[in-house]
Amino acid sequence: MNQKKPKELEQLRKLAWKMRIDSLKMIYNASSGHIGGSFSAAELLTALYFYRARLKPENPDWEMRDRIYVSKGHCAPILYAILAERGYFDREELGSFRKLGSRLQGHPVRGKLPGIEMSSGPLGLGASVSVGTALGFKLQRIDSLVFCLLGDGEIQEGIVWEAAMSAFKYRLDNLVFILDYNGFQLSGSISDTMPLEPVCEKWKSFGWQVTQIDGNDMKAVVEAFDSIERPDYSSPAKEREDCQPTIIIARTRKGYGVSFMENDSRWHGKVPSKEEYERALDELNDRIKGEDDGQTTQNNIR
Amino acid sequence: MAKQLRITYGEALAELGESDRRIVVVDADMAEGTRTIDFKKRFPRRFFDVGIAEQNLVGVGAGLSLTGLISFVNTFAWLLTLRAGDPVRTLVAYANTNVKLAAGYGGFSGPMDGASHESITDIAVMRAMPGLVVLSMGDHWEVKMALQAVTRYVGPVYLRLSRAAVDNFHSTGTNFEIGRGIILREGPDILFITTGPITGRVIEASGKLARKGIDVEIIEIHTIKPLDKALILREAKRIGRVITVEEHSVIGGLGSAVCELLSETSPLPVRRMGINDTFGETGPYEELLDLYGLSVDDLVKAATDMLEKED
Ligand SMILES: Cc1ncc(C[n+]2csc(CCOP(=O)(O)OP(=O)(O)O)c2C)c(N)n1
Repeated sequence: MNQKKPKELEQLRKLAWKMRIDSLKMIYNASSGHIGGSFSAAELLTALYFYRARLKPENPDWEMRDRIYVSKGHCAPILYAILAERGYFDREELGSFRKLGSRLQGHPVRGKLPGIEMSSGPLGLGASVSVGTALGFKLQRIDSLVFCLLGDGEIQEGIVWEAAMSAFKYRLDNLVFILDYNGFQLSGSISDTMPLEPVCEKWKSFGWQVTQIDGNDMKAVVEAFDSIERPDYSSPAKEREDCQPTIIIARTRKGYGVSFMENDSRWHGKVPSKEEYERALDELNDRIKGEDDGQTTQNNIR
Repeated sequence: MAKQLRITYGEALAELGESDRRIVVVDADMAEGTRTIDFKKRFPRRFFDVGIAEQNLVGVGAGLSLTGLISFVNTFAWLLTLRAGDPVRTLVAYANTNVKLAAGYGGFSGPMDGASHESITDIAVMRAMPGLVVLSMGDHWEVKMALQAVTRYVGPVYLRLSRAAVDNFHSTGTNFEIGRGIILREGPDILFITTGPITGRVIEASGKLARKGIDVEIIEIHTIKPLDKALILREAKRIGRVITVEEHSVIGGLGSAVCELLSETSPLPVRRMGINDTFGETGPYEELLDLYGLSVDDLVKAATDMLEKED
């Protein structure tokens, strides 16, 4: 299926790099913000907003839109960069990130900026919100999908598992969690801080359909999104047993794209020096050039 | 035996579900207690039980509201305001969602379970949340009126309910408006400002005081926030002596709200009656209120003390 769209894939890949560059600039400009978790999620969010989700940026409140909840709200920089690129607001405004009076608050705020579906920042909450929204869509037979991006450290929160149970109880086949499994949280590695393994088995045992991919490989991301079916309320209802929520466990690298930032929890919330900033920009620009030369970057699943 | 307030809540919510199809109800394994059981029976498709998971309860309620529905989120007051404090702040108040937080067992009204199940801090916590409307219900009439009003009102609301058995003290012709206090009795000597089922005791105390020749005024405040500042200021200034009465800690509740208001514009003596910075305990509801300083005689004494001090 994907042979049909190498061009589109190449564009998406480039776009993800560009979004990283925009986020880096925003964070450097604000002297504050989260690079690591923005970079790890670049392909996931780019594919969601530019490829998979049904959206109308010119009409952000369009009733039939899919909902994207970015529960790991600290990756606001990449989210804002994507929303601007997608046309929700002017790219000029990215420069106001984390400045006094800005609509681009440190963490996203509902009602403040077009495209932001829910306030986030306190980790874990988006999981429950997306369950509620998926329930609301089912009740009203609205065929929108609900996507929720979660961090791996984030799913240590109890509310996530409360949500996981309720999504299975109500057989929410219109709900997709995307786990940005970059292996690091704020203070160190996931395995040192609070191990999550066996993570696939955990979700399976909660009744979820589990797909595991390399989340920095655009082709894999696009394929995973392709496999998500939109509910069809005009045809006879599926057997209850066939209705499951889905989680895409996306193996990613924290800080992916800048050699000295990768897989290093210090870059969770650190701001680069001028020299580091310039080196990072060079590396990211090289990545875009690499895509032009057809050297698609493949990283292996850990 | 008077009817429990929660019974009226359950019935009124189910009735409202009939007239407004946008209403959905979420509970956390408490439907028998909160009385959402009535709604559940009538509208099983619009009722969701998330199990014993109060954070998720609030999150799911907020998520439902984002699809255009009106969510009534139900559990014990203490769990809603404390266990689910962050979801309430972030997903309801801060995100400004159309969620109605229906808090059962306010104050001492679930008293046989002990202090862990009593809620004497909820108003303090909810009142401090920007953007949240905070209501506190006293009788059956009020519960019915408030349910209709909060359904019409678009935005987040905290609705403090009670398990207490109470008689109506409002007459049916009264006007209910969010943000408007209600004068229950007029009098020149002392102004009682009160909220919730304890209002019944204040009325009783006013009768006893009348027999002593003391004529008090009673304002019942069903909306703790936004407070009816104009009414309170006008009456307090005119009367000059205020006693606040509530089934809540004296810290952060209605009494605090009244003091904050008066001290900024027209400082005058205020006596705050409530739970005096202590936890409750197990016991019959009415006896507990007596034990913790809210007996009718305590109210009478507070009034006579206040007048005597001036002499
Ligand atoms: C409830 C809550 N606790 C703590 C924090 C502070 N915090 C912000 S980001 C973070 C680490 C998040 O790790 P992870 O979910 O793995 O995100 P990623 O690695 O993708 O950036 C923490 C602890 C928070 N925002 N919310």
